[in-house]
Amino acid sequence: MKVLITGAGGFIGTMVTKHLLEKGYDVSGIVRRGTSISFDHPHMRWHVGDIRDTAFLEICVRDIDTVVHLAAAKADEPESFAVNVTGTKNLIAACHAAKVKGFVNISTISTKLSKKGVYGNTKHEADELVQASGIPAVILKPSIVYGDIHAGIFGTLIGYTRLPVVPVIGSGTFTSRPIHVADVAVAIEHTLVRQLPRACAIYDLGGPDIVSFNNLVRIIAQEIHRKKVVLLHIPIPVAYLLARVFEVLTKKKPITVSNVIATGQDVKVDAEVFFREYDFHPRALRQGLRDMLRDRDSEKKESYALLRYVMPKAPIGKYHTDLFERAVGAYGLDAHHISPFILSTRSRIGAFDAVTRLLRPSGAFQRKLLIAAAILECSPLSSDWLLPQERSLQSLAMDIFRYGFKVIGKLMLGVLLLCIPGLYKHNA
Amino acid sequence: MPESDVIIIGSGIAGLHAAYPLVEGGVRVTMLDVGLDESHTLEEGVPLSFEEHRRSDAGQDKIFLGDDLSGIGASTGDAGHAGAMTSGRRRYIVRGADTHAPVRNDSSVITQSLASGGLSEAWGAVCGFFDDEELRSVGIPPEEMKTHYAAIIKRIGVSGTNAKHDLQSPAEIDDNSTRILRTFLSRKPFFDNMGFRVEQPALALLTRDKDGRRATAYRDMDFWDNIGRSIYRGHYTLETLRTYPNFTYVPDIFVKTVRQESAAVIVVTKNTATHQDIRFRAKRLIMAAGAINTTRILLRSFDLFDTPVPLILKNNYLIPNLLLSRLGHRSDPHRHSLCQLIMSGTRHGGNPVNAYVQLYSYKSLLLYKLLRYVPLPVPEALSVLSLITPAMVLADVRFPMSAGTFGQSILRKDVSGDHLEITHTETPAHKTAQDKKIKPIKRALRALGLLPLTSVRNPFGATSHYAGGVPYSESTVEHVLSVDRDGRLHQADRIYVADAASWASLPAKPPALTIMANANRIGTRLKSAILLQ
Repeated sequence: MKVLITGAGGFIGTMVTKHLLEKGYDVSGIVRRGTSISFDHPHMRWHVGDIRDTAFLEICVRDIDTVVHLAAAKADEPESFAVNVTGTKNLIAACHAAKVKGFVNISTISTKLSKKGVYGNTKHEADELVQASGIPAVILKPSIVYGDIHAGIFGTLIGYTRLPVVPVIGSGTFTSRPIHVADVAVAIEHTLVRQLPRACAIYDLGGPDIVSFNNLVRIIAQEIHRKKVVLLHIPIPVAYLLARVFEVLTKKKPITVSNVIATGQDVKVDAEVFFREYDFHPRALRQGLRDMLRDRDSEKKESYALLRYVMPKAPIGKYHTDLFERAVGAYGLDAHHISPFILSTRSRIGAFDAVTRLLRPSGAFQRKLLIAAAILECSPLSSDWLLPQERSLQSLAMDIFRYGFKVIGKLMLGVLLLCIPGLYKHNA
Repeated sequence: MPESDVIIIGSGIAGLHAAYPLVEGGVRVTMLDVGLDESHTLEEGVPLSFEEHRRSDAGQDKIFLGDDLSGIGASTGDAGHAGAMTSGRRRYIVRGADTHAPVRNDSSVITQSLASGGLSEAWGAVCGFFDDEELRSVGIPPEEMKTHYAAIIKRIGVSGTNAKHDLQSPAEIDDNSTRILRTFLSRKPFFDNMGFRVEQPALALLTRDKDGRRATAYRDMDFWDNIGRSIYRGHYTLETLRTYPNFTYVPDIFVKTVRQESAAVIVVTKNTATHQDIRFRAKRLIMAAGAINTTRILLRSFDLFDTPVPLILKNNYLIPNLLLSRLGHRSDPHRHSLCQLIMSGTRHGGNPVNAYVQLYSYKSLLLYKLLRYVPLPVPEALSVLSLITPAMVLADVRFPMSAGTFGQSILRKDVSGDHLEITHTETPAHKTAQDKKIKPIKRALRALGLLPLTSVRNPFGATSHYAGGVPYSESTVEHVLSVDRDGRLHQADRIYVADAASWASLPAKPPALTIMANANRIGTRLKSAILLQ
């Protein structure tokens, strides 16, 4: 099945894209100009452009079976309306023209608030457009989505909970049902597997735990920072004022008016309907937080770093890191550890690779790289890179030149690394 | 104690094709074998092409690296070439050989197999027809061989062109090889003068369906799976033999010694699963455990410890070449992975070089295997390899090795029983002479439009072709153990040797086809002798 994902470079979009590729879908992804595409895949096609550009959208939806619409302006921005409403309208028009068979719209639980901010309002209008489109559609309204320790509301909360006293807007008694981003990806895939309903179906999407904001802050402090925190409640009018001030003063706002409006109201997230109808079992909040920590740690691991070095753009997953670790065990390289100094950046790994390749080609470091190379080569990820291609002699020569420069760069940096006492001896 | 007319030790190609005429003739045959068999894993799955696997099979690591990841070859001592055919899912073919049949060797490479079908489960399917001169040097009467070659061709299915034999039509060759062959034909007088000929090899690869096996689908997966059974493997013949009521296959049996009594042969074995000693008894015995293990069993049986016997090992040179005119071309993925062309010295003309050069493309093989030859950082090395390997042609050069050269086996006692000590001392003069022969070969390769990049000399034994130990001899005194022209042991007339242990030399051509044909000859003669009684 061919799926187009808008907002494929975003937090949820990246996860959905990888998940669908893993499940064998052919995926096209739209990303904004300026977004760095973080990976390649033989079944992946990237489109760089603007969701408001109708001509661009027409190209993107060609031959697509289903569209997963994630692109949105999240903060309250001047272009919120143009992106969230006009963008959706253009996309639906393009889908009609290309006879797209299904539409999955990722909305937000904020559309259910009685008093909505700009975000909630524009997303609500978009939902209405989708409902009226006549294209078989599913609308998902997720509660708080988390999964990245550095980004999103949880990223912010994790930052704040580091403080001894955590400011909370209002009483903090309103509840939410946080859902892990990987579960959102699974939920979206579930809707694709099943024939979409003729009419539009709308579901709330959330995790199994219903938590008040106060408890959420406490749980995060406990699971992530292993400590207890004191909450400082800021009255809503004060917070509202602060948000207004930030709106005028700064570009990157710690709180927005939409945030403040949302905190004052309680919305019931009726996630059970989706659980039931799609046999969907998202992970519990505490488990999700632990997974988040593990993901962060795994990025620091040797397996991930070396695989990432050999193929920077590959979406390296647990499958590959597990294989790597198994191979390291099978070849008796368990006892060898590469120092974090080298692993911390790709350029240092590259520099060390260049020198050990010449000085110790059968040392432990090079054998680990051989393992990484073998694992990546024996994966569809590398097929576009490594399988024979028709190419002109000119491009061949250009490529060879390019590699030459890279090699020289790595070698020069490598020589510098050799000057660090003990580094070569312990790592090669 | 089970009893039969003939016991055969080993299920490799020698044992199987010695058994065939006997079993067909109604003789009661028992085959003793360790018989490791995981070949079903190689026949399962969807018949995708190499490219399709590479592009879309998320679990392709299981095929290319094996469940045990042995395909990576990241041990320090991994020998590149010898291990290449027996890694990944074919790993079982060499499993356990070191512990059951211990060898101490110096610089040589010894590959042994306890698998059912033996090393034919991993062979490259190139069939070499020995000429009369080569047959005589081996110790096989040339006048008898034509019918036996024909019998094997009919049994296993061979494609190619041969003046003397009726083969299936030759397999298609790939783009690179088409180019090379065209160059050769356009400059034929030049090559005649140099003493080289280029042609398609005969391959044990079906181009027409046969006995439930399928003609090759050109999926380029020949190194990686057996789906369709297009390439001949020994265990197919074993399956056929097992349908005969007068054939008994006994796996899990490791033979320790053999002994001839007045009217029978006793085989003392150990069950590899239960570790029990089991004796088998028959009127006659055929040794077919492969040159090295037939020698080992016989030396032990005749109590010939610390007694050197001859062993012939072959080495090879690998010359990677670039076919410059094909640089930058993707090539048709519809191809087979086996030897595409052979270039052989015609042994006539001005500068005779008796060499057999097999030409392969490096397409269905993996780039990381070549990393050791490219001293660039890994990502750049892989990138460069991906650019040049489509135009790469590997030349695998082999020379004949005659009897009485440099190898010998000696059975030594040790604490755990005994082991075979293999020594191989090549004289510097021989090495120089061999190196010298590479020059005209490189010249011929250049004339074919190829750019030889380097030449790598592999150690002796790297071709996995072994001979000697119990060589053919007219007299009984020349060697401690030897056979007559029917393969019958001079020292015990109820024991026959069907494998290359009885060979007095190793021609440059691959020996498998001739091992099969000669085993068929020995089996046929024995059958006549038995039926006459």
